[in-house]
Amino acid sequence: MIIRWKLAVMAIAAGGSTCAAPLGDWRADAPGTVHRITVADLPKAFATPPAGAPPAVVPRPAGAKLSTLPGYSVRLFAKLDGPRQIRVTPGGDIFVAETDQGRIRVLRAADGAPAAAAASTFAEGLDRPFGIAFYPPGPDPRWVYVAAANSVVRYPYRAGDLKASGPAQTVVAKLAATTRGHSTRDVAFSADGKRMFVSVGSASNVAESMPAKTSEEAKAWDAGHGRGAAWGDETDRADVLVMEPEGAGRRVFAAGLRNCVSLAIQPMTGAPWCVVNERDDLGDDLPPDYVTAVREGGFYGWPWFYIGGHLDPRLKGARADLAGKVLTPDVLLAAHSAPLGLTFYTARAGPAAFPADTVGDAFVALHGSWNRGARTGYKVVRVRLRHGVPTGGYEDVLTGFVVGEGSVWGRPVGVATAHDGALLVTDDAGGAVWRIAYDRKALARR
Amino acid sequence: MRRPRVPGAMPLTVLGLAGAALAQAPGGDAGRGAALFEDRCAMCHVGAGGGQGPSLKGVYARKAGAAPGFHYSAALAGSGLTWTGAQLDRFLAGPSKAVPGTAMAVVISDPAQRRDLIAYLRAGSR
Repeated sequence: MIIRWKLAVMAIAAGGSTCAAPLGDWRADAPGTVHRITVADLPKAFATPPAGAPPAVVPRPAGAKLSTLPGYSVRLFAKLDGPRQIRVTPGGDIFVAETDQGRIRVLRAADGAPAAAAASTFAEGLDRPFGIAFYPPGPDPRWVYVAAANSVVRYPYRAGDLKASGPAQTVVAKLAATTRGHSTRDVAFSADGKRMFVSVGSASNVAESMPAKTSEEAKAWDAGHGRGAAWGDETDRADVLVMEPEGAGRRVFAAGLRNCVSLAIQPMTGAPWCVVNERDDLGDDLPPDYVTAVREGGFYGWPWFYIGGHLDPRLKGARADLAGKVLTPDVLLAAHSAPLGLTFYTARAGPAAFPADTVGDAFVALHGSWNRGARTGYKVVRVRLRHGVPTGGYEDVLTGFVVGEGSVWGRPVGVATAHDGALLVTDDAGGAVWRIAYDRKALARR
Repeated sequence: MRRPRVPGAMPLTVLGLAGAALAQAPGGDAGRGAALFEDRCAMCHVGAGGGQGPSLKGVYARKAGAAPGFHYSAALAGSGLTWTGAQLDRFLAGPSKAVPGTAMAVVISDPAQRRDLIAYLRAGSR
């Protein structure tokens, strides 16, 4: 295990630092470094005490530089106010959610341009908008869907619109009865345009105040709400919903997903995928966050289990009947990395397009930890897939946001492939959109 | 769709404020603020401060960075601020603009929501 070895070396160099978590942290990160976390690496619950280390967000220090892979460049593409989810239309316009400002902005840049022209405001007055999707799928979408904190709305759209031509139509008035806790709703459409997926995060860390049910009551709840669906204040939370694009026929598609963000359709299989933020306070390396295909009818464990059938000791064995029915997610990420962005790279051509073997791989943005002794995340990583199946590990692609153990100057949120093949990364803490471009000529000159 | 109003909010006459005054005054509805606090703040600001944020019990009129047992950012601990209504308003509107280097990440961009939250924090600090 590369990371463990590197860290051991660093701990010695640092005079036997004791805060180094066994599964690595930001000090071992660099473009090209590969991480591979398996179920066998999971420590016992509470192996380390719960940590409280939210990052101080500082202005970019003089000389602070982002690092990316050889042959690639990273440049500031646009300044926005707290940009989060980012999605690109078939025509190349770039939609970005300024979640805290309640706005959807549009950026535009010529193919190959290093920076965007001035941003337009497509829609405003929304309650913490995050998810964005274009409907129908294909070359000529007629609607822009936006997932807000507890609703889904849509705006009429024609290619090239920089401002919504009409008011928001409500598609789902209320996603859940409760709104506290996680608020990053996302939306995506199946390739055939028949199904709309909406991800809804949990109201709490681990359903601490969910009332008990007898096993008969729990089974009856499952029958009506889907296997492993939570109840009480967590009703309709911690899941992925599926419905028709106009909002009819809504039901639970998959459950037990504590906070599934950045729904993305995997181009080869057509399956919805997302990145999931697992629970806090079980220890520095527990449980891993993850990237996974979301399987219909699947149960991913929350709140009673994590990463397959590992029982959360805080739930005291409730729903033990589900132990053998918990799906193990596809790619494990360092615990507390806080993955928020996921995209499958699709550009086959363009002045900034990545090498051909990148097509089909996933890029994941890690917002970064707070519940871990040694900081992790705050970077963008590549998840390799072969024929649509992940090979298991992930590789650092963009690093450099961490200043020291106490502070950071940026936090990646969303990732998207631009029309010219560049990879765009939003950074809500730094108020920036970054552009990673591949430059064949620069590589040849090396 | 923005900010569902809590039914049964306190009528203005009970607050003793005319509409125009309410728009400018620190006013705010502590009841609505309580619901907002539950929604937007409670996940981090719970208990004695073992989580992402410190306890906000008694925060109103307290010196910034002074809740016992919480490890504050150097920026907030050294800010010299006292959490008056005006300072809370400025901080909640853009924490990292008001105090660069803070770890507080949640922005409340709606002024009316900030007034309600501050009313709640103030009521809970008496």
